[in-house]
Amino acid sequence: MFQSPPNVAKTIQITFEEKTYQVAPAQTVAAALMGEGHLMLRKSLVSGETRAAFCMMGICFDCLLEIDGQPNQQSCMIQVREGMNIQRQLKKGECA
Amino acid sequence: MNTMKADVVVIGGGVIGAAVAYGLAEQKASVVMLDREDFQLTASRGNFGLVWLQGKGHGMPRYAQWSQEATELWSTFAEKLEDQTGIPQYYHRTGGFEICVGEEEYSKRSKFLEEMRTQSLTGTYNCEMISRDELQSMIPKLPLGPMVSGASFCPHDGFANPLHLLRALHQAFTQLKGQFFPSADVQTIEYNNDGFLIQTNTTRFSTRKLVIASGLATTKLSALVGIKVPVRPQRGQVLVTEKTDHLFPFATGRIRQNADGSFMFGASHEEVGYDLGTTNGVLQDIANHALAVFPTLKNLQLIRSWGSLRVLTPDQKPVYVESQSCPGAFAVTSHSGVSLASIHSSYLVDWILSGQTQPMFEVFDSARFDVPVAA
Repeated sequence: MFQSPPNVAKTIQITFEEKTYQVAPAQTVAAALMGEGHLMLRKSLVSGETRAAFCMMGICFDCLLEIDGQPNQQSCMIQVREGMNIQRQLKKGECA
Repeated sequence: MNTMKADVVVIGGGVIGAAVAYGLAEQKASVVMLDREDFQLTASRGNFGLVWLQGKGHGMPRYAQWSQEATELWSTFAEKLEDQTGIPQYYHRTGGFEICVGEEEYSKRSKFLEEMRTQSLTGTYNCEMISRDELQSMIPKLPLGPMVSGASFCPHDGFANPLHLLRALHQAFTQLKGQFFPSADVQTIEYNNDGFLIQTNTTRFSTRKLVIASGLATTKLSALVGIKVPVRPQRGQVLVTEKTDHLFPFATGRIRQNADGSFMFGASHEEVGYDLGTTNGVLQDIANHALAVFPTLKNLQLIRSWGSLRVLTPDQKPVYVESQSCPGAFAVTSHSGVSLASIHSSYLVDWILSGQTQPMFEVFDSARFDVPVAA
């Protein structure tokens, strides 16, 4: 369904749900995960329904992920970085 | 071009126009509601959703009373809308605070409440100052910041989901055979012995009664029927956090928690014309106030922010006025479209349909802004 850009060396390693992936640099986390076949990024806290990235431009908030321990990050607006550790967003935010 | 006839045409599909149109349709009038494009963040889509009484009507006691009546009608109003549409309103009349940071804010707020009590039409004002300890005992899950000195508390205050309100008003209006025309741009309004001819970009409407509830366009459209209503935009910015556990069952004028669990922070006031943007400085001030009050919220991720424009008359109080030169044309505008939705769909409809008003209703006439200029 989604293809990573051809002829771009996959020089960046990220971890998603405890599995590592080599992905191309200069793309967003949401794009990288879609390129690896991961569409379901979170579940609605209200209905429990699964959610996939929709707008890819920072408007719809359906691509929220936990990135390096920070919950509810907009993964379509954040570029992949070497060693990023990513989890699906399945739980509520926590206060101090 | 076809001309469509209606008993009443309402120009404006925001929370005020829709409340009036819905109330009219409930009274079996044939009603047309016109609205422009909704790609702009209008006041009805960008507001904070408070159903609020405290602090309203300073300098106009009749408006304080009007707000109180609206609040008293809100539960029944919300239940009826839910029954008619199945759209939950999430109305909570839990009581509301204005939380004071520092001693000066506390004494200012006490003085303000005393003024409200003094000018009240009944001699009473149902809003009390409470101490920091009392406040803390009411919200045990949220430790107060060290500078919090206390709060004012009004048991009538609460909040609803303003987007659900707007959707329910529109759906109920349509269910009651009201006719909605979106993307309608009003070009001309003519007045003659038969009433009003309203020309939009696609359709012509003929009606005996016309209600202008057009937000920031109210001044321009009212002028076409001989009504002078000055309104201006004032920007408010809003911050929304990720969803978290239910910690705050009340609301303040600046902080509330939605049914879904996200916190909303707001209540900035800027004079920036029609600019809908957000600015870092103002958003920082909003966040700083929230953290001064509830420091434990500091770990919550901020998810989104927006700017939206209030619709303000010169004294920030509502205007309800019928045209003298074109009788049957009404202008309706208020900053508090959500709080007053209940009364806009009931008492205001009686006034539009039959001229019935309650005592002292004339204080809402826009004539109050026509101060003679000294020669």
